[in-house]
Amino acid sequence: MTDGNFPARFVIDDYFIRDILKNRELAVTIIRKLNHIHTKSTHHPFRHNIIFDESFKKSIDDKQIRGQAILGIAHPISIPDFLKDETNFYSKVIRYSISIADKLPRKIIILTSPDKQKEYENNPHYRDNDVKRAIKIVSSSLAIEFIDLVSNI
Amino acid sequence: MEENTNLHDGELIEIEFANIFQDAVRNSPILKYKEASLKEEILQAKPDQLLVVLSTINSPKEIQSVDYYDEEFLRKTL
Repeated sequence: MTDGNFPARFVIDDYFIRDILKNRELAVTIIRKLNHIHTKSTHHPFRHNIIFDESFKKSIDDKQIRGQAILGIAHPISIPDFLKDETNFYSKVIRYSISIADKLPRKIIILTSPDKQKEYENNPHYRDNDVKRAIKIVSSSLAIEFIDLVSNI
Repeated sequence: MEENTNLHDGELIEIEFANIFQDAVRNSPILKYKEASLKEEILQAKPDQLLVVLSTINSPKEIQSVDYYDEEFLRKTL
């Protein structure tokens, strides 16, 4: 069990939410662990994990009540001013992740789906080696491993 | 943890940090409850339990529902 100093923050997109919902029982387990990290964080309590408003809305468009569950794992944010002119969703997520990577714990993990993981990895903002060191993009079983590792429960 | 005694729709309230909220529920002459049992549910919450409190945004505020953020809640909402 950690003391709330979790070694990474998560930026979550709606593709990740859709992907984990394919297995509801596993989704419950994953959500419980992300909730633990999100609420127990000493660095960013209740603000540890981030989801863009647009991803949050897409995640609940077929079931509004799901929003209550997602609010327990990630804090929805509107697009920051410096990204207002950015039209590419993956660029927005990566550039936002870069912008918070200088704050503790200085490691960001983007949680997405396997097919969208490639979109992120091929994005022009994800070429620099320093960026790749600070920001990891994961999905599926590797995402679960990272969540286990960070939550340490 | 910022202290916040205001209620927002769907807000998660961690009672471990929110004894002020429980005190407010206990003493507030303004808060109303859709069902009387909701007040007791909030007051019975133990440290470390997360509550999802739905309330109206109009004044006087009326608490509509209370859920514990647990596996049963997640199965229902996901």
